[in-house]
Amino acid sequence: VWLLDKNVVRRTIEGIGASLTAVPLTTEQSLAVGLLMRGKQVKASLCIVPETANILSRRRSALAIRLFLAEVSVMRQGRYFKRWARRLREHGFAREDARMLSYGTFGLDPMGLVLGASALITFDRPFIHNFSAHHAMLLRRLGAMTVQLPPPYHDARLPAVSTPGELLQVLETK
Amino acid sequence: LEVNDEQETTESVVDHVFEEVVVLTAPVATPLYVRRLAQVLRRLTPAEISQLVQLVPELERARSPWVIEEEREAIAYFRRAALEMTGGTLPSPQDEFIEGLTYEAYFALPEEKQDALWERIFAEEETGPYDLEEHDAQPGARVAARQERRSQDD
Repeated sequence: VWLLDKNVVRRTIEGIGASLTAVPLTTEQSLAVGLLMRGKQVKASLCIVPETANILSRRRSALAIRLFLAEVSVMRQGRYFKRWARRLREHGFAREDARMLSYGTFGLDPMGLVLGASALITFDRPFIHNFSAHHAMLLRRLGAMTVQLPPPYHDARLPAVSTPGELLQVLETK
Repeated sequence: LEVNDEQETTESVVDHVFEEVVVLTAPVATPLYVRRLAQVLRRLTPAEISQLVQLVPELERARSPWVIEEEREAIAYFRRAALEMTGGTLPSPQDEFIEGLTYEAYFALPEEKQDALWERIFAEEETGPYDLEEHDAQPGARVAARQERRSQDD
């Protein structure tokens, strides 16, 4: 499961629009659409959060958005999503970053069969640096919270947080 | 920025990067603004190049032979998907792309205006058909992430 943040969503939609009208893609647009293609090849489940899906669903008349929505699933909030988001906020994460990380940890796929995401994909480098800087502390805090939860929440993990370029690089070197 | 045409080391580093990019993009004429940017970059020291790559990590990946191929595949895929979705018509640059803007108008906007437009879009009300309530996992649900197990001893 790869969870796309709103900036990756934006660049992917722009990349689709540019592709349809033969406009040269920028590096970020190219990485975003490349990631989507690679995800299809490796059968990754590409997800967005319901907040983003709600905003995009009002714009279904736009062809690029319809094409994008056809390629992604919409996560749902799993049990303990809000509690973990609150804890992340206490550790200095912005509201939106805390919610994205919480979807990556306690989000559910549409069928409720998969908890969290293996990777949260973003172009937001300050967010990535903040996550890396607090990683050990977040692991401890998550461990303290999940130790008393029932399965599958007991086994909840933090997602990896990376840029599309970093994830593609990892996939190419495997 | 100090300009020194005799900086062979700097030039060779920059040449190395751009020669590969130029080879990869050979079928497409290099736009004037790219050639101008290359002229500026040729004047950077290796340390400055390193700083630039830190600021724009995509530059490293741009040397990768997979990049252009992935992009070509993606372009072809979405053009096919669009033809299927519309019954055989690709949009023209004068068709609407988003928020009442045509493709042509949107892609002609300066980056900061595109940023402002998307900020407005994503600042909208987040409720809608997809609910924002918590749900229970199905029995037997698995965990997606395969990161290291958190340690209680940390």
